[in-house]
Amino acid sequence: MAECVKEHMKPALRLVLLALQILLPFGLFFAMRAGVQALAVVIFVLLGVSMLVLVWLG
Amino acid sequence: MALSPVVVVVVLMLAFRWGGSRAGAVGWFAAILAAVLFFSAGFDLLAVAQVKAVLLSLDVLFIIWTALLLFNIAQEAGAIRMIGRALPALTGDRVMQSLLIGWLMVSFLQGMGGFGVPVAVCAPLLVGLGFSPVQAVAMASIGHGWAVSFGSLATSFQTLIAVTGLPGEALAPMAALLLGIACLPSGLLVALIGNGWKGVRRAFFPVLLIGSVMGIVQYLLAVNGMWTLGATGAGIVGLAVGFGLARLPAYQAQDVKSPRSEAAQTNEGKSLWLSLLAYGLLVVLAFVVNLIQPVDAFISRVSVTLNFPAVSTAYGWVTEAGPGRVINLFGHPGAILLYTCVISYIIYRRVGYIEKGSLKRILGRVVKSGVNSSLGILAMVGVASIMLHSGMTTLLAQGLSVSFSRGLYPAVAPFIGALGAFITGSNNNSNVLFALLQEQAAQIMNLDVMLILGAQTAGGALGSVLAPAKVIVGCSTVGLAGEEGAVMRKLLVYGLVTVGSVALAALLIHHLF
Repeated sequence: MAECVKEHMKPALRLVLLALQILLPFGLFFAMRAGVQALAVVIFVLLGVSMLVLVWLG
Repeated sequence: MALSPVVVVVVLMLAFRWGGSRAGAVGWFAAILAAVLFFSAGFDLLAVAQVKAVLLSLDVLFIIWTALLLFNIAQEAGAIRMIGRALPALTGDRVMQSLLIGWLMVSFLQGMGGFGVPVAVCAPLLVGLGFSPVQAVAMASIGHGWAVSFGSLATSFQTLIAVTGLPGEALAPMAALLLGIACLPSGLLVALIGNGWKGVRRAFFPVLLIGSVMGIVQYLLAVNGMWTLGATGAGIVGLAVGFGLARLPAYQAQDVKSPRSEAAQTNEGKSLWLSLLAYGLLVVLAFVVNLIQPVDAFISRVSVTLNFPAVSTAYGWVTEAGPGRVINLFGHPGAILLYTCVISYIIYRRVGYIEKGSLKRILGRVVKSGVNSSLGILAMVGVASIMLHSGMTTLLAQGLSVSFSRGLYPAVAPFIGALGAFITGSNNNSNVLFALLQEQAAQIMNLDVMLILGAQTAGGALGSVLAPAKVIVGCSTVGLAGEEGAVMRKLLVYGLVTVGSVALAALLIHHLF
């Protein structure tokens, strides 16, 4: 199942990852500036997950 | 441990042949682990480093996406095919073809714009001439390293001046001399990559002549205060001498029967010069924007940046508060490329060189090439930013500088500059990171500060073309996305030769003068 998704959705997934990796850090910046530390941590974790997906995609 | 993120990325790319985006992502985790476990970095530091990295990446991605768009518009209009046919008519000599595009044109474009544009533009042209994609990226990369410090209107050199606080007139002679020396092996290596040792023998005289002329022109411009035009002026004169040499009977291959104009006219009823309009327009717009002060001032009014708080590690490594990368929205090299794209597309459509409905096809190709490269750049710049903010990069430089004796240090200085550029992907950033450190090291060891700083920026220039972030850009334009490791293996060997030539020159200058 995962391999099937990987093969067929690779270009779309890459595009989503690119959008996430550009937008999430800005969310991180504004969350930190607003002093919402918990949200900042969640956003950073999501960024980490997007990096993991990138490693998985190859 | 400070070196571990770089080692992870390099090993994955070179030994395991991973693509830049995948290796960069693993390197990003390695950088975070090293920063937290061994450099005592906290969450705030990692977050600030990552946001700054994205801002810096956007600055680069603006150029990459618009360069890809320009290339695909020009390709749709038939420009690449026509250059591929016209150049063999100018000279059928493969060695001269490789020098004209892979050394001279790429250096000229570095003078005009830089930021990855030269390789993105010239590598596909070399593929069109019949060189393999790996050869094309390697030639275009190695060919322009010598022009980086005084290219892009000398932004890297300006940074060197700003960071050290020393006058440009004092810094320019040694930097220009060392880069001029590096110009010669750069040309010979282009001939070697494209044509083997036979090509090197054939290229020896043209490289010696053109390289000397370019080195002297860049030196004269730089030492007379016109360092912003150093690489551009050298590139223009180099191209003029190169075209002159290519017309000599000795550099006309025997199998070439048709004159230049014939080849230009037999291309699908299109004019070669009109097909090349996009690139001519780019040169004109870049000159207008960069050299006409009122125009520059007018379009540089709107810029975007974010202000960051100071962050520090528990070990006391402090990064001061201040703005991140400032992106000049309308005067950015990416914006100039975008204006060129829009004007070129309209003209090509009007004269019928591009069919109706082809915009979708062009954009599709741009997205296909751009996404993978962009992911790689985001990850790599993230690695560099975390290393910089946690103090790893400075620790690496300090370790290197205290490990060598006074007599040997002039030869080590270019490699420190190259390492900085390799890690950060830019000569400019290498100068930001290491120039002050090199200046201090030179003073402590009682060495010629100008020689060491010249070696720093020259090494940074030559090392920047080997950086994974730049290799990814080149690969994306010739269909090698995901195969950057193969190109990097080739590039590292040649890069050692060019940086080594600067190291040898610096060592000789230190011991002889």
